[in-house]
Amino acid sequence: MSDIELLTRRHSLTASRHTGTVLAGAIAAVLVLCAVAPGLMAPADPLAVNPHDSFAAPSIAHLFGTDESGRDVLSRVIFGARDSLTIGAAATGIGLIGGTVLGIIGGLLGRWAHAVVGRVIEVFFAFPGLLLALLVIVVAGPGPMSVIIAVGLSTAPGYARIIQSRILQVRVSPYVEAARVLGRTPLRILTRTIAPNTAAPLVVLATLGIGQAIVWAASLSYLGLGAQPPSPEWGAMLNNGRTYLQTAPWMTIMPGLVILAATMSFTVLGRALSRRTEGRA
Amino acid sequence: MTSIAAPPLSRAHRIGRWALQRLVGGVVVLAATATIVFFAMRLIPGDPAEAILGGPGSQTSAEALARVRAEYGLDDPLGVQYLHHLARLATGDLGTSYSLRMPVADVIGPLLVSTLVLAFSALAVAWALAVPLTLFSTRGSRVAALVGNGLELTAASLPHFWLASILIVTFSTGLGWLPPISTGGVLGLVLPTLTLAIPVAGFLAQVMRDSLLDALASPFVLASRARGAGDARVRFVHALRHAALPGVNLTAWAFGYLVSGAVVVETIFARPGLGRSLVSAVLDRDVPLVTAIVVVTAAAYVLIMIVADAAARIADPRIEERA
Amino acid sequence: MNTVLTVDGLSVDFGGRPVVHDVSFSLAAGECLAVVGESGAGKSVLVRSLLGLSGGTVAARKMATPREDLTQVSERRWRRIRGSQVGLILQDALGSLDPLRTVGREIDEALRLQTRLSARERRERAESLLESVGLPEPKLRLRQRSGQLSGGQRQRALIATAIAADPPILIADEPTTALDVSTQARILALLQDLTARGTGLILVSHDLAVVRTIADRVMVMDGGRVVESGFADDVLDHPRTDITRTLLASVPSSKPRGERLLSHSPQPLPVQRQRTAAELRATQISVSFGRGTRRFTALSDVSCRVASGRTLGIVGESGSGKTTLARAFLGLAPIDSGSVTLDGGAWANIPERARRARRRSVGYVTQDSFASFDPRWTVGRIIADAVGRDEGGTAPKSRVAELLTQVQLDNALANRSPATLSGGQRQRVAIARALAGDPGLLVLDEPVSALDVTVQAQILDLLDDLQRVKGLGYLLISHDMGVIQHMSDEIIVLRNGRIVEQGEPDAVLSRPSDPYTRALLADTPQL
Repeated sequence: MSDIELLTRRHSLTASRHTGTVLAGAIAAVLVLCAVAPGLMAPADPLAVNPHDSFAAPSIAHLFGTDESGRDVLSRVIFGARDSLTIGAAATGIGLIGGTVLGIIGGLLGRWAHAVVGRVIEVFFAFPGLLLALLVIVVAGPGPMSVIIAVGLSTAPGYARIIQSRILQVRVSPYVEAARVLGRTPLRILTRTIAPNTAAPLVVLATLGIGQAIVWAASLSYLGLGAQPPSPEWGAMLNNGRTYLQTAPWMTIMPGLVILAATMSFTVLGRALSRRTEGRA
Repeated sequence: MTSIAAPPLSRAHRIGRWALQRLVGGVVVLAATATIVFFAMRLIPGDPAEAILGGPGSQTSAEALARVRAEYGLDDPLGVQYLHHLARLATGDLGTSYSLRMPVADVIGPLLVSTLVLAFSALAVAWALAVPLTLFSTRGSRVAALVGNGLELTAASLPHFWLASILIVTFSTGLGWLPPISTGGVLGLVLPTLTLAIPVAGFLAQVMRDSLLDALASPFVLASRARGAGDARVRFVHALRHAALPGVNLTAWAFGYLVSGAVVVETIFARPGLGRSLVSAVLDRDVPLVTAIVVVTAAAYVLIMIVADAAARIADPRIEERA
Repeated sequence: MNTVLTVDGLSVDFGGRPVVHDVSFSLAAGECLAVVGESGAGKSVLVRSLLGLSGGTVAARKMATPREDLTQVSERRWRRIRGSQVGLILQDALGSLDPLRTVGREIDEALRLQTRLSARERRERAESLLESVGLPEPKLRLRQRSGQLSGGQRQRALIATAIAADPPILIADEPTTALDVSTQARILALLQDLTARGTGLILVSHDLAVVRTIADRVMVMDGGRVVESGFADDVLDHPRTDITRTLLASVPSSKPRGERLLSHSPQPLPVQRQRTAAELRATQISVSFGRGTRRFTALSDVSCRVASGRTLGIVGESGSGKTTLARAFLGLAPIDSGSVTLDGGAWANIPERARRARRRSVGYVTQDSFASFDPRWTVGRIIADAVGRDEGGTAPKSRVAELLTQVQLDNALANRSPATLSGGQRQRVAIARALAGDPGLLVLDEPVSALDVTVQAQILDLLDDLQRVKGLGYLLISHDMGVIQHMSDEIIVLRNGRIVEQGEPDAVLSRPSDPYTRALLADTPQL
């Protein structure tokens, strides 16, 4: 799952970039608001069962339609933002922490550590991400916590690789050499020059990573390994909607559109951040 | 500037060293993978002997459990079990599936073929979609760039499970053109392939567009124009090859992504394959089957990385010169 | 002489912004017309518009070859003209040949597009082209890619692609800028050879010494306009405009050691700080890299000395060991044998801890100073960091201001990011940082190589002034004999890691003892 490396690539279209970034920011802000205060945003109770109103197609009353128990899909999606964004953010956090630790070991502790970390990363890459996540979930049992750990662990090698190469790149940079020539101690070079210049891309990675983590976490829930019904976690909602795909496709389409919007907006924001940090470098 | 020029190694020497490095690296990766799977399966709560006899729910006698433990060497110290496990794998013995009561090698063969067919057709389709999209988005018009950019971003962000559902709703339920279930046959392959291919095409088009634009802005393209080359020639003869290079590298990565996706896609389309079997094998705690699937996948990945590296070296001879 | 190109009232603008304005000239067969000026003067846009490749809107009263009116040409027709009537050679030969294609295929492209030769004839023609541009073993070269060639070979191959279809007009845009002097001399000879065979050559250059070597006529540009033009000797010997005079004065070899190049640039403030004498001395040092069969000796048996108030100039082509010597003097490269001492104390091959406190006595300025700045920092922060905390008495802020003044930069720049500065300003910031520790010595590794001639002259004047006021000692590294000659009290010529010539400039320049030095001097274009 080193999609991040692809997402950080420079993008060449200047036109309409700003508009896109603003739009993405707005979507992300709305989603975060939903996660923080779903009660304010949702038109209805996400768990309120109303058998008379089941399988209602999208309408003014229910913008996203209703599910098999007559629950309002829009409200469920809004309440689900909390679970999905939390899982995405926490998984990204774990992935970044793991990746940073590995990256620091491989980037700073000399040739042997570098070789060992390189091999570790290679081994984890040979486990396609979801396989690793599956193993973790089986060991830890299904549930949101397991999904966080699973997605976090399977994204860590990708982050580790980026962070390690960033550290190595900064270490041999002319500005680190300039600090040496000025008579700076290794500790000071590490804390004042290497650390901050390595940390700058982490914000970008985190932003790009959340979108991807949400998708992977939803995939696991979709397979029935993550959040369980009646939780309105997005992947779980889609898993639930799968049974009714033929009769009530909106139960699948609507939450999926929200996942897509979330992923895209975090990606666009991450790229905008990446351009800003690169612009300074 | 001082260039540190060392005498270059001979070509045969370099290729030999490269092959040896990749081979040793591959074996190390496989051994490590097998190790991780072995210990991960031991971490699963519960008695492995029970799992062998059909899961915790089944009423099994104490003697049966003891017999199974002895038979599978479960009473040995963990270290001994681990070494046995590695030794068996090294001789190519994948063991017997607990849940299916069949030699794993027999189970896995058809599954591997099915998943590889899916993965490779997805890769082919992804390239077939990505190249025209790249050429379209770099035509020079703002609208084309905008549309191309949007398509790439959307495609790369699509979750497999959702895309699959949308395709089913559209092409099976709605239009009735294609079966929603993928059981053999070419028609059944279409939707799973598209599901896997579209996001990869998005990623491919992104990296290729970037490097195509870089190449089009490079002095060698200007020089070629100054010789009288037209737009088509500059694009197809010069720039496209440069754009394809990162695409080749990405393809190796995409294989891992496709196997992850196969877990979801094979489940949705009820298609037999490694991914779907892995989910059930993990849930059944079928250690030999899980191990085999993971190791076979890792082996395929290692092989693909080697092939991709070789392909990149052929496509870009500079890599070898740098080494 | 028959005219091959006439241009009258040519203007190019980009979205309403004029870049080239009302330029007129003509070019005769066998003639070399040089277009000179600082970067941004519009030279490259002008010559590219002659191939329809400027990218802007071109308007002209007349632009024509004897066969064709170039103002009325469709893109389709331009494609036939490019390569067959006008050829283009770009500066960056490494980038100008497709790195994934062989030289043979690049030449073949030109022939395929502009001639009707058969595949076989094209192959033979490509071979003879490579021979005519002086590339030995043409059969082998045809199968090689640009990455496998040396800089000079690459530039020759590129010239071969440009002249493949025998265009009567050839445009060379800074064709020798990235090359060593000896390679440069050979490429210039090749271009001269082409003009002797009747090609009309338009040479774009910022190096007047190069221009003097081969140009018949010179056209000086500034701000998109031609400010002066005429026969090369007239323009270069009797310049009529300040722009030309400044360009001429900027050539370092035009003035002897100690004399400022540009008299009108402001003098720095007198500085009261007292420096104790400082001296770096290398005694018979050798440095090598790699191991086993891949071992490579970068320096062998080099002895030299840098002292306060004096400049030691090191000249040599790329790969001669210049930078390694600088790194040895900075305690950055461990040496295999010999010794380096700073003020008599051991300096090389001692623990970094023992060096650290004394590092303040040696400053360092590199060619690409931008890369040596922490990308997150402003100019002020970069300099303040170098001033450090232990600068007793003076508060860092006023010290930063003082240093900026010394390098003639406005104090307001302190809040800017180096990314927003020009190349010359960045070099000044780098010099200010090097001066922050109040060193006695500066190691200057190609400090002006990436700059325009006039900016280069300003930086050289600044270095000269600082040396006079502060009594600094310089180790100055350059591939440019002119720079070394203008700045140095002692010159060392390095070749393959060995000193081939060492001595006073007068002695080295007038009575070089080594054949390599003699060749180097002969190849250096003189104004």
